Amino acid sequence: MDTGDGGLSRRSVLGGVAATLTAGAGCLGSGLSPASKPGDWPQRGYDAGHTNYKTAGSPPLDDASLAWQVGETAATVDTRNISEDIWHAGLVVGDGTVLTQRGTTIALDDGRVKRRTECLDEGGRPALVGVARTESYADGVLLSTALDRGPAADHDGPELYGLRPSIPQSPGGRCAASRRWTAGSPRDVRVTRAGAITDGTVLAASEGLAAIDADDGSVSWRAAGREVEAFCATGEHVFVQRQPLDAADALSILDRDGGERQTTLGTAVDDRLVAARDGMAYLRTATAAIARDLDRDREPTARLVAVDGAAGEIEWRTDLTEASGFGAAIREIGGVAVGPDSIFLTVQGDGGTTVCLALDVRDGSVQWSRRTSASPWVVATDEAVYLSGGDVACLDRSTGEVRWRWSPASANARGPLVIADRRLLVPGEYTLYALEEA
Amino acid sequence: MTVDEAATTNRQSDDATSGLWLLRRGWFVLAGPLATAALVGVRSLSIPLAETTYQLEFPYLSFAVSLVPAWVAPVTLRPEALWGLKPAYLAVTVGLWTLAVLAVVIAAGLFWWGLDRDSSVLAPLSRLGWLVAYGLAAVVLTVFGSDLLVGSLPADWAGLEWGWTLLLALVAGRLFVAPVAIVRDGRRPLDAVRWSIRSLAGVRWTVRCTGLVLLLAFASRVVTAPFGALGGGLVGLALTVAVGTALVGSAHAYAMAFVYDLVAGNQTEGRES
Repeated sequence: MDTGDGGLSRRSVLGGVAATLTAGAGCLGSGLSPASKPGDWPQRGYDAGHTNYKTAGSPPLDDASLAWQVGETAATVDTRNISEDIWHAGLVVGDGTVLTQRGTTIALDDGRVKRRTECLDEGGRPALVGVARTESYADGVLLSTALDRGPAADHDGPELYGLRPSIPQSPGGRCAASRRWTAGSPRDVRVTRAGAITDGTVLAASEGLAAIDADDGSVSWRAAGREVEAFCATGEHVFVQRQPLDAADALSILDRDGGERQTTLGTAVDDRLVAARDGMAYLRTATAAIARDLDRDREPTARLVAVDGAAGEIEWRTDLTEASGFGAAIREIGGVAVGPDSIFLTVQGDGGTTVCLALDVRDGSVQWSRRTSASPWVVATDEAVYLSGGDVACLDRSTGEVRWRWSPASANARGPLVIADRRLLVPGEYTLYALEEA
Repeated sequence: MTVDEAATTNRQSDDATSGLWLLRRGWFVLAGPLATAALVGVRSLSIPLAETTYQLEFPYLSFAVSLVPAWVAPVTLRPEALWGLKPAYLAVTVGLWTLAVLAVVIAAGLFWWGLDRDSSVLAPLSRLGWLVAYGLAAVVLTVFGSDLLVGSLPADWAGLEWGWTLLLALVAGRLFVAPVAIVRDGRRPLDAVRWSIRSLAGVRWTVRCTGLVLLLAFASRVVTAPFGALGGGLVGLALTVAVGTALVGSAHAYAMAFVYDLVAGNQTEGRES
C-alpha cells in the first residue's frame, strides 16, 4: 500500500504559513466547492456507487413537456458499450452547466449553448469522466482522460487530467491551457479506467486501484494488485472487481479512506460489478455471457447478485430469467438503479420487449414488474422510475404503473437519462432534450 | 608585490582560514533547502505541481531558460494551477513561491557581492531590494509568461515553443550581466538593463551569451533527472532541489559575474586608454 509522502497536513501548513503570509487574506477555504446543487449530476450513474438514484430535484412526475433542445451535441454513448463501459457519463451537470462528452456546454436553465470546444473530442473516443468538488478550487475540476495522449498511451492507458471547468472555446485551442494537473502529480501515471468520484477523490485503475486527490492529482493511496475490471464506492467501502473474474479473490472490499483490504470473495466469471449502495455491491450477468449461452443452445443464466461489504459474503441472488418471465427468451440485463429499499432494473427479451423490475434490496424478491417499450436505461427518484431507449417513460415508483410517456419528434432517445433539478435530460442521437413538468 | 596586492593576498588567506570564503560563495547551499521547503509547502496544500524532470528521450534537448539564477525544479507551479484557487489558498501559494524566488535571487546577490573581496559579507539592502524586484519580474516573465504564451498557442503551432525558447535565450543573453550590475554597481534595474544591452551588443557577445544561457538552461534541466531515479518522493525532491540548486545556481551566478568582470574590465580599460 502506497500512501502520500507529505508528512504535513494541508491544514497545518495553511494554518502555520497563512498567519505570516496572508494577513488580511480572509478566512481559509473550508469544505468542498462548489456547493452541491439539486441540478448536479457529476458522473456516470450520479454517484460513486453508480446508483442512478437521486433524491434531490423535482423532475417531471405527472406529465412532461419539452423545455428546450440543443442539436449537434453528440451527448450519447455507444449503446453497445453502455452496459459494460465504466469510462464515461455521456454528459454531466455541474454548477448549473450541462457538459457533453464532445465538449458542448449548455446552460441548464434555458438551454443556451455557452460554448463548443473540441478539447474533449480526442479521436472520437469518450474522454469526459465527470466533475469533482475540491477543497482548494472554488469551481472544482473537470475530469477527462484522453487529451494529448502520448505515444505510450495506447499501451499503458491514457492519462487522467484535472481541467479548469471553463475549458477553451476555440476550435483547435489547446486544452493544455486549462489543465491544472495530470494524475499522479508530480509524477504522471497512466490510468486504464476512471470514475467513482467522491468527497474530493476520484478512483482510477492505475497499477491496481488508485485514489487520486481531485485538488492536485496526487495519489492518496493505491491498492496494488491484478488488473481492475470494475469498481465503485459507498460510504465506507470500495468494491473492486479484478481479473480473472472467476478467481477466489476476484472481488476485493477495501476501506474507502485508506484503501486497506478488508476482505475478498469469489465471483462468477460472467458477473460484472455495476453498482453499490449502503455497504452492498451489486453484480449483474454480462450481456455477452447470455448471448454465448444462447448461441450454444444452453439455458441462459441471468441474475443479479448482492454482496454484503461488511460481512464479505453474498447476501442474495435473484434469477432474472424467471423474475422477468422471459425464460430462455431473455437477451440482456439493462440499466440498474439502486435506491434505499428497492432496486430497479430492465431486462430485455426476444422481439424487443422489455420488463422493468423492482426488487427488494433486503432479499432480492420481486416487488413489481412492468412490461414497457422503453429501454434499457433506468434512473430513479423517491417518487418515480424513468426509462429511456426509443422513447421515455415515467413509472410510479411504488407500483410500476406508467405515469407518462414522451417521444422525441425526430429521433430516438438514445442514452442514459440525467436528473438535473426540475429537468430530465434525454440524450438523442445528436440532440439533447430537456423535459420538465407540463 | 605592491602594498595593495599584499593586502589582497592577506585577505584571501584570512578568508580561507576563517571560513568566510565558503560563506561568501555558499549562499546557494542555503537557498536550495529554502526552495525545497517552499515546494513542500505548496505540495502539502494540495496545489498541483507539474513534473518537469528531464527525460532522456527524443528530442533530448530541454531548456529551463532563466534571466536570473534559479532553483533547480523537478516540479513546478504552472499558472493554470492558480486560476480558480480560493483566495486564501492563492495567497499562501503565491507567498510560498515568492519566498522561493526571493531565497535564490538574494543568494545570487550575496554571491556576486561576496566575489568582491573588498566588500563586507552582506550587500546593501537597497541593492538587494532592486535585485529582488528585477528577479521577481524575470521569473514571472520566463516561467509564467512562457506557460501562458505556449499554452494559448493553437495545437498546430506547438513548434513555436522552440522559437519562443530561442527568443527567450537571446533576451536572457543580452540581459546576462544586468542583475550583477544592480548589485555590484548599484544601478537601478532599468539602468542595469540598458547597460547590459549596450555592453553585450555585437554578434560575438550575443552568440557567446546566448550559448551560455542555453548551456545553463540545459544543465538546469538535466540535473533534475535524479528526481525520477530516486522514486519521485519527498526525499528525491529535497535532494534534487538542494544539490541541483547549489551546483547550477552557483555556476549560473558565477558565469554572470565572470562575464560582468570581462565587460566591466573592458570598459575600464577603454576609458583609461
